[in-house]
Amino acid sequence: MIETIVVTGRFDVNNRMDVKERIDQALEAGADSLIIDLKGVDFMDSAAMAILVGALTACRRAGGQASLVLPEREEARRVLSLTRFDKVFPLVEG
Amino acid sequence: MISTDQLDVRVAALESLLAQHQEWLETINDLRYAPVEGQDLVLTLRHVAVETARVLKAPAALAVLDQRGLPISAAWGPLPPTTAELARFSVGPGDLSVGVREGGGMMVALGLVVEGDRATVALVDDDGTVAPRARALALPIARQAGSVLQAAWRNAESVKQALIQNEYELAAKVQSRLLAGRPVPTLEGLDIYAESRPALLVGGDFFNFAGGKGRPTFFAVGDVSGKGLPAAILVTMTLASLYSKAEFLPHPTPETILARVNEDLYPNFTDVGMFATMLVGMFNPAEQTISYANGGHSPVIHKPKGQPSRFIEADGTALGVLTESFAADRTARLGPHDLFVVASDGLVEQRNPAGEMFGYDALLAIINENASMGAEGLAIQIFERVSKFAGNAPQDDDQTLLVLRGAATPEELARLQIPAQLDAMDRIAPHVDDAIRRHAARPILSAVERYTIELAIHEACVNIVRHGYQGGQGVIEMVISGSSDELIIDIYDDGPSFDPTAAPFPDLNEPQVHGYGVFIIRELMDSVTYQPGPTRNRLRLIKKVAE
Repeated sequence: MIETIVVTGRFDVNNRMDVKERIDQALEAGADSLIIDLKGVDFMDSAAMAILVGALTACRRAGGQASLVLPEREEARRVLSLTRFDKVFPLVEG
Repeated sequence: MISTDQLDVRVAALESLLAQHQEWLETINDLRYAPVEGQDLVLTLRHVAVETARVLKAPAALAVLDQRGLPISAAWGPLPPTTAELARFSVGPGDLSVGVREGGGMMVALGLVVEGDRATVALVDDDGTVAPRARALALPIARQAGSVLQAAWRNAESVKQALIQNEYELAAKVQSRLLAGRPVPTLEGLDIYAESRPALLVGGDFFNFAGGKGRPTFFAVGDVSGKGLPAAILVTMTLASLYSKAEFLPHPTPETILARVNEDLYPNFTDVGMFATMLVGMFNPAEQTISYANGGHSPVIHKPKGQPSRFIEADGTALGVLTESFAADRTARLGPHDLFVVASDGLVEQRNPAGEMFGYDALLAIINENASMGAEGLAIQIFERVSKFAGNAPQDDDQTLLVLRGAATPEELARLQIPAQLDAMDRIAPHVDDAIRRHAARPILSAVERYTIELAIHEACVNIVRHGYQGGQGVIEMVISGSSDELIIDIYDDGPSFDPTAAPFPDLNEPQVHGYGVFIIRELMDSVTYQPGPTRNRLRLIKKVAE
């Protein structure tokens, strides 16, 4: 079962635990694959990336996959390309 | 009709001749199978002397290899012939000559067959029996002994060549350490780049920095006449003299350093008929000028900002030409974006396959066109254009460049203090925007660049909160300054020090939970330096900006 998690605005050290909670809830509800929609994100930091990695590991353990919708704003995509997350995660159109 | 007695005599004589020839053949075989691999040349000569004397039944012998005018020899037996005695003979390969020795008695000289050189064996012949035997066997001995000697000589030559090649490679290593080992110093207010590309393994061009450690820093660029090992040796001596003058003269100036180095080296240079051009200079940060003294070096170019570049003529002779140096201290402006370029003539005199020279005007043009680049960028441009011009024509001479560019002085743009708490991080963005707006030089910053600055500061502050203060109370102060070259963000905290520049890079093939924060800072900023301190720590992030 695939579940979509939408994040908008800032995705950083201050609200990452909220996002993590939503991911955990989706997995508990029976999802094995996640689409993390970052289209509306305008600021991402390394703490947010840690959450993404956590999601990837959890989905793989459940036998599924975690995919990303890249942020629309070029600046926010920067961090993901710098750390090659855009190569490691499968990407999905928003 | 021959009688039985006569036949018996003849048979006996033939048998004895056969036995003798057998012995000669065996001996000649001995000569041929003499060990050559790794055998010393002198030992081989002695072997030839011993064996030839044995075959020809001579009491003593001398073997000489001329070695193109540097003879070596080996002797055997009592009172062998001397090289002086042998010098009176002149025997070609395979020839034989007989003569009287100095103290009386006879000697026989036999010329050996050796390609590219001369070798002779001289034998003592007191009873006159050696000469006829030598005559009978001259050619085979000359050939066999000759080939043994030849092989040993060739071996010795190739070992010598390998040793010379080793010496060159060693000299090249030493020289490249000397030139590259002294790091280009970081001087406030100056953007410096220096590089030398020798034509051969070792060369006569040099650049160097001397002084420092509480003394003024001097730079020197020069060119010793000639190439290769002799020039490289003189470069080493020149640098040694330069270091000692820069370090120990009580009040050094470029003029006095040049004069003292000339005094030091004049005897050595004139001894070998060589000379060295040299420019010595120093940067005066308070006045934003360069002082320099030029002993015959060219090309030297000065380009003040907004003005065309022009050559600076040397007003003194090169080192080693006159007993006194007449190059005087001169000054050139080196404020923000002014350029001072010292090159070597290997660049302007580089030829292309058609035989045309790159030329002085072309160098001026490149500097004019690329004056907005940093020192390293400009230097690379110059090297590349010369290389492209040369095509597949060889590099004839060493090519050296020293580029000095005045750096712009930064002004303070923004200053803020935030509590060391994660929820205070979103207060950073407005100040970054403010700083950019207030920047007088108004560099063009794209949205991405603005974002990267904010992100780098954000990550740095998060690290301070987490690893520095570790959740305790604290304050983070941030100062943003800018010049037309760069934006400098200083982040101060007074928690325990945590050096983000010391953290290892994450493995990008394996996504991981930790380690990206520091990686991001280092990737997004052009320079990241950490200075822990007794009262507070400073993390300095620098972003270069386009003008």
